[in-house]
Amino acid sequence: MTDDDRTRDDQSPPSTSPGEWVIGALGALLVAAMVSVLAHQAVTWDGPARLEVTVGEVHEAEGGYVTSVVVENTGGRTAESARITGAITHDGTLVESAATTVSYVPPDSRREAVLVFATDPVRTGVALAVGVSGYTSM
Amino acid sequence: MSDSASSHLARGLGRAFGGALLFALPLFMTMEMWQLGAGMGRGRLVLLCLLTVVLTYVLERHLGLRGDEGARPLASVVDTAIALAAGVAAAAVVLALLAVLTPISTMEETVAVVALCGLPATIGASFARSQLGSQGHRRRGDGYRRELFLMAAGATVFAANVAPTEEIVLLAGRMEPVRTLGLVGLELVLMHVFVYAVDFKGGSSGRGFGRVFLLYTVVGYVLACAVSAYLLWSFGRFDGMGLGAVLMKTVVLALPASIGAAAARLIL
Repeated sequence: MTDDDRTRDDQSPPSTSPGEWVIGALGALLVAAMVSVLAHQAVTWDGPARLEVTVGEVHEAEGGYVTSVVVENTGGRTAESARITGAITHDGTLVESAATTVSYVPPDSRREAVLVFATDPVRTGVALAVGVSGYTSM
Repeated sequence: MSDSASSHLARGLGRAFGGALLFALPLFMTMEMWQLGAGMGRGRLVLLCLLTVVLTYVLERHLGLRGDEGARPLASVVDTAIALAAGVAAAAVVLALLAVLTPISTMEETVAVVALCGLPATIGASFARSQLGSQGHRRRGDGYRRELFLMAAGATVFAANVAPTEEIVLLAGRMEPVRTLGLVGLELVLMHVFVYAVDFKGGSSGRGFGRVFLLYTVVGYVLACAVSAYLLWSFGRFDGMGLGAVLMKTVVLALPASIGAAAARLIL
């Protein structure tokens, strides 16, 4: 009787090759690692979503100045439908504003979005402010 | 003679086409499949296509109609090609009739959407040809490696139906880590129930709980999670995500994947 038969023929006593034990041990290790990361997060993820928006690269394209923004969630809950806004001001007067929506931002995660302006947002003399104007807390 | 050969081929193609529809129609009618097909990373789409072809080939080798004819890789290559053709044809016809593909669609988008939707259809076609075959399916070897492959295939087949949907992201977003831990526990219990059922069917009694739990339930669960994670990564659901969000989405998709993995040993 071969090893292969033995796994099916159940009258024979169980025999497990060292390789199988190694795979089993590796599997147990991975599940344990996963559970401990989740357990760690169960303790550390705290409070509502906290979103921070930062301006990334700006480059000129056909439609205007493509401004990438990164929204990061440092809170403990997922933010859904986060509305990202950007406003360009010149000497305190609003020149132009743009907005976009990011569908989901889970905790400890970041998403990239893009705002498109007609005005160069990094030109000297103007100031660009980005932020979040609202989201659904999950 | 050639009449019977061609009618045999026609029956095989019809069976493959029917299997493709039976298996993949829910995915053809899922919005995310069209969006992901058009928008997902091209490198990831190509990799997914290649791995699906490999999976289909191995399925044909292990479960195919020619399973007993000994090592004839070429026959399995032909069967894989037939399944692929039936799957892609089913996707193209249905998506065109449902107006997912319109004359406005660019060639690139059309090819990508048909390719993505054709993947589950290919597996369905291959599956139908082996399972609905008049001679029934045969078993080839029963080693541990084969069991692991069956579990991975079952996980893929069962998880594929929901993997592309936004619901996975939504559910993972709503769950807290504590709930996710509870879900891990439930998945392990469910898997072990199936694993136990397989052993029961086989009439085994002398195998220790620890051994069966470790070698089938735990390893099978890791496979289910790996398949889930791979599919989610392919669909860009991990982009920009922290480890916690990655794990939570994986565990959510592992619910169907782990049941598919465990049930595959029972069914196949």
